[in-house]
Amino acid sequence: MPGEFTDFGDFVQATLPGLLRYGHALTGNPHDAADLVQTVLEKMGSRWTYVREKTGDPLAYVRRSMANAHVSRWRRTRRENLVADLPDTGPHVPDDPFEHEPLWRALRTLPPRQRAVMVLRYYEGLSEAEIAGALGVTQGTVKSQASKAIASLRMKLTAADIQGEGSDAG
Amino acid sequence: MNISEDELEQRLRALFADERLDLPPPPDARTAIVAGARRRRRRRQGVLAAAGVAAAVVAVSGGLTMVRLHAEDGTAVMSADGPSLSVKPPENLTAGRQPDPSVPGPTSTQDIHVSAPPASPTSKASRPPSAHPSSKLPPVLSGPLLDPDGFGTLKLGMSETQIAAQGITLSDAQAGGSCTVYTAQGGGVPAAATVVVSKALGLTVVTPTQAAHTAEGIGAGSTKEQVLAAYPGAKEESGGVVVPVTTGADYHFRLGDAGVVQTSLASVNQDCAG
Repeated sequence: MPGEFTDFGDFVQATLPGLLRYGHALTGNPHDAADLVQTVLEKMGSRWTYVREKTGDPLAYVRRSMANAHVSRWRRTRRENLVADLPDTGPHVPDDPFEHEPLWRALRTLPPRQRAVMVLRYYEGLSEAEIAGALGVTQGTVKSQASKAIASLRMKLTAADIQGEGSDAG
Repeated sequence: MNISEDELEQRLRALFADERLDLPPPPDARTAIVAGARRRRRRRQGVLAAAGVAAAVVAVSGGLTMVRLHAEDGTAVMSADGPSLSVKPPENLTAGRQPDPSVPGPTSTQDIHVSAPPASPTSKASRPPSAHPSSKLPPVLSGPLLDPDGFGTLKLGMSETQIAAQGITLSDAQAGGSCTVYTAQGGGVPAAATVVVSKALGLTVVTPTQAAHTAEGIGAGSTKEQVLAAYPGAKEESGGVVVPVTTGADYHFRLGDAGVVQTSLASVNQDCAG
């Protein structure tokens, strides 16, 4: 149906900037953000009539799908990423505006589910119950993932501050 | 000195509100994504229509184009975004990462060959069995139909009284905490089902006792790949796959050796274990 795809195209056009931004927060880099958004939107568009009619809120649906796709994608590529992380101190060109932001770097070390919880909570402003619904886990899991993430971020940031002070002084 | 939790929360909110998170969409993004959606649709329908070799060709060329589009998109976003550098993605991107891991492709796993073909009553043209591994089986329409909002006249959120008003009998009550598990039977449901009713939230889980199918043709014997291909946002969970079906509910497909063995509809918000 051409009309259906026109409608979907309009949806893409209207939501793309926000979704890319959201994907950037979720994945931590522009390339993965674009990849994630494109993949999820294409899947959704191929079943657009169904998604629009049955989900009521396609935008909420696509954001939720992105969070889930991000978490499960990481599961598949974890090994590869761990290896790729090793030469982290190498002199590669930074590609991200937040490359030197300690909090951004600390977020990058979180497992994706913890990161997703942080993004849903502090980017989307969702409650624990809403996050549990979005990720298909229990509220208890959300709570424990959030507290692990917070503890780990605090530790990393504190370490980064100490380092920063050290290099300022020296 | 330690960063307080409050300060961390503030910094997180500030970071996520930072305008540098914005990524300008590539100029051709709309066209590329709509084309990608069409291709996925065509691939699915092509395979369903059993257009044999043609489907395989579409699938293969679709796959190749998709990779290229992803690369283009990535590049476009990167170059539009980088303040001064149009240079390099980080190392793990150049390391030949799968561009689209959530779509079953030629690389996806062993259960492709163990997919149990349901007895095919088909009058359609013969399907080449290995031409396109991800969704070569026909849609499953056996068993009762499980809707995104309920099962027959049984709808998520209904109280025991409302359920009874549908002519459905609840028996075998097993109370536990704030929820009760029943067997639901009667004229209002297509077949018997196990249901969980929460005191506060009403009906939260429906599991037909014989494997039900969905409107998308996923049911008894569907492979994991079929489930993942049929639903955007599907994700593996312990023992099966969970699929967001509305903003308030998920399908849970339990997988056994021969594919899907059980289909449930469950509310996302539950106050009982489930």
